Amino acid sequence: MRSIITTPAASASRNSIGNELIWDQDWLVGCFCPSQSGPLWRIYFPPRNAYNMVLHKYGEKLYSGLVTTMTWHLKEIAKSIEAAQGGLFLEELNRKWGDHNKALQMIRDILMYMDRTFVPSNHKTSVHELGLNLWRDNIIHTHKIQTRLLDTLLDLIHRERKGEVINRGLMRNITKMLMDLGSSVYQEDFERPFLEVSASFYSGESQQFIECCDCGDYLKKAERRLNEEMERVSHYLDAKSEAKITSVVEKEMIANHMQRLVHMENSGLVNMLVDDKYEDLSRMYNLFRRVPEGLSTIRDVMTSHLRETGKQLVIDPDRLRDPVDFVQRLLDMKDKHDKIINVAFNNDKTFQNALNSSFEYFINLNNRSPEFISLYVDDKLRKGLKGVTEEDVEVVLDKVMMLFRYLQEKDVFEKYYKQHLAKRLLSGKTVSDDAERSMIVKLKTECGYQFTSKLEGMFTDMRTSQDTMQGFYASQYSEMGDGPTLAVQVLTTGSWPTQPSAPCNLPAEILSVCEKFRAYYLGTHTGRRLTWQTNMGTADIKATFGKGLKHELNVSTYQMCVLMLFNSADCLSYKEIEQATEIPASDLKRCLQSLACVKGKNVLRKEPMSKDIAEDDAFFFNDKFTSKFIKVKIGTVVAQKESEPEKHETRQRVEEDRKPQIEAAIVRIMKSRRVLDHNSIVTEVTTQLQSRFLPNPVVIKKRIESLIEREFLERDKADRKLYRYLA
Amino acid sequence: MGSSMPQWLDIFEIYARYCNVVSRNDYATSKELLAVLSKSLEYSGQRREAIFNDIYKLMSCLDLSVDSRNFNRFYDFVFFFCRESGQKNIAVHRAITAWRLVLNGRFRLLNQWCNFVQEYQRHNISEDTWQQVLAFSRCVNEDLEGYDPKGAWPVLIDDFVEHMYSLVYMMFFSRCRISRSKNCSTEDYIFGCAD
Repeated sequence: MRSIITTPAASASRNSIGNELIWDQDWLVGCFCPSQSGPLWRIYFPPRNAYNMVLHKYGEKLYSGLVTTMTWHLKEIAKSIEAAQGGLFLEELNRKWGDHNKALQMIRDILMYMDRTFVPSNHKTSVHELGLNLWRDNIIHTHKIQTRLLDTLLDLIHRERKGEVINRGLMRNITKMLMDLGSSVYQEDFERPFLEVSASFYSGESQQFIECCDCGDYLKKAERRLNEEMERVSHYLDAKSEAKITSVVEKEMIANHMQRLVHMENSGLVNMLVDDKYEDLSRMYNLFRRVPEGLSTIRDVMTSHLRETGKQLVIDPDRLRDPVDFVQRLLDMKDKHDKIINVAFNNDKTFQNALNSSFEYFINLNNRSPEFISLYVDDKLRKGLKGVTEEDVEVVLDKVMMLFRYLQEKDVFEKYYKQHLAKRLLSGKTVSDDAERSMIVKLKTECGYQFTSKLEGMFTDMRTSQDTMQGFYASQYSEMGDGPTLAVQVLTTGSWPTQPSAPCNLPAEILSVCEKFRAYYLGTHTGRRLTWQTNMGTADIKATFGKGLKHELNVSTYQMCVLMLFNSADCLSYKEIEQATEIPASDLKRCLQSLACVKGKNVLRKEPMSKDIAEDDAFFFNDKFTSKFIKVKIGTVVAQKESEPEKHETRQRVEEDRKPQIEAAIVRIMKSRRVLDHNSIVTEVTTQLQSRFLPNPVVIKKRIESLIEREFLERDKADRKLYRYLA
Repeated sequence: MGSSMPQWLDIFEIYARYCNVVSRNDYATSKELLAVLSKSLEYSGQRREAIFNDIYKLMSCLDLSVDSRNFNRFYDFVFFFCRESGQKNIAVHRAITAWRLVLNGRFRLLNQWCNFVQEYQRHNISEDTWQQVLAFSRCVNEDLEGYDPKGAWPVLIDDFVEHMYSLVYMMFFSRCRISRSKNCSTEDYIFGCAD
């Protein structure tokens, strides 16, 4: 193959350049022969020749010669690649591709002048690119090689997925080749079919996994697959493929099975939540967040699970028996899920919101929640926090406040809190003043000064009472003698929860001290009125039983009144006791029950023996009473949580208290708006009051009607839905 | 009438004065004048047991069919006239008698309404409720179509509607059980319970 090119231009200037330029294709063929070294070929066809040819306008000739020769050569190469056996195919291809690149580099060097001048001015493809294009067309896109290449690549990947070790370096070279040939070659000849095959592979595999694995295992497998694919990309695929292949895996392994996974029996999301499977949950979160709707699927299931279990908890009649346990369970539930969200769900805000809204939903399903939460605090502040550090007290109180925030009827909580605080203060049972105050500060932040000022008033009363008692005893020192010691707590009306005052007949000994105190108090504070709240007091009395056994009894004022009667009688009937003391029947029964029916504390004996007190029972001083303790505390059988009628009464009081608040809100709104339609009023009143409670629209309407009647408002004459404010 | 009983007013006179007062635009003065008028009713010692005769007499002489505003005024007057002096509202039994008298033929659910109020309403009827009953009678028909639960109706009216609905549904389901093959629809039975 030898051609001689005669250049007319050259002949015009023979002297300087030489009269003949020889275009020798062998040099080019030589370029493709790796056993020869480059510089040798410059001897056959020095760059100068190319330069001269281009200079003398034989560029076209040179260029087309290059194309023809390279094409011919590549066809030869294709044959040798096709001939490669089985696994050697890729290696052969890779080797030839390496040679081709080297040759191309050389040719480009030799034809550099053509590349710089002829190629751009004639809009030709540069030598390097031409080389790649010809490789593509003559090698990669020949039918035999194209399909064989793709099959081989996909087969290798498949084998790798199945666990075989493959030559990743070779894979990298081949895919690198495809990428060098242009991104479209990589995408069309490899990436697209690769993704398709992967999709069907993972579709099948996920189907198989989901049938035989539990949710946790499945997710582990999915995660591993996902990591493998990412690793594969980093080792031998184009970085741009990562997003595509991971989205295939995500779709096939996660998105398509999401519902089935979360709801999987015995191992789904709910089981993970119940068993605190932080790792599995975290894995699920991280996998599901990759697919659309993934997180909302988890969130929805979690929400409905929370609502369901929460609802079960708050309406379970068993739970209602023990308010402290009830609240403790709520707190535990909150802690548990807080931890899950924190550890496994990346502290996701939307999950926290879902948790909060679920709690808000079910806590309010039980209208005793406010009472129980207050009882829980009561329990903690009475005894639960004994010996606990200040920080821990704060933690407990903060948690309670968190539950408090979920309450819709905050005013109900406040009502109970006041009652319970009053009992704590009066019985001197509060563990720590600091804790009490800390709780009040928290309530102040939440509910404002108005509510806590009453509570603070209660504390002030307690302090003032101490001073008063000191003053009283200082003034009476000489006359007191041997009589009973009195400790009076003077409570300001209004600050304390209103107790239906039921004064009983105090024993004469007590009465005289009481009168002394009354005289003293009214002497120092003019214009005041004292009412004895005998239903709230306590007494320590000394009693001598048979065989001279002495005990100190700690009893309530009522119980003291009853016991004192037995100083002058051995047997009294229920009626006699009732008449002598005038204690209200329900309280008297409770108090007698605790004196006569509790084992180990039965300082009285009842006939007939039974658990309950009947109107015709008779009571005896129990001479045989023994106890291993000197001091015996006789608690009243108190219903810790309210009984149904009490609850009803509190409810009614709350409703009554709400009326003026609703009216005030209506008037406030109407004062600024002058004219407003009914529904806007209802909406605005609800917004204004919802931090305290959720007003019932019917109640709002009734208040509006009442305000119309009292001529604060009137209906607009023309539009009956509009109200006007009457100044 | 005449010199022996100078303060005695018959109902026509009272109505005329009433109309005169309420036609004023000044809200405050008309209120005062109404109070004065109300006082004079008390002094004149109207035979309270006969007020419904008087109202009937007045109603039969007035042309109330032409202009609904005329009837409005008359209706408001009835409340004014029925009110015990010094009170802002009227007793349930009196309101019911008055309704039966003046809304006869004007309120299709009159009978049900009066029965309902008789049975369930404990408190007196306020002026607002009284007035809204007229508006209510005008905008609903037997099947309660036209009632808007968000329509700012007094609670008594809301309760009435709820009561009617519950009757209708009880009716509907009991009849459906009897004649399951028939094509039942709630509307068919509205009349049934209206009787």
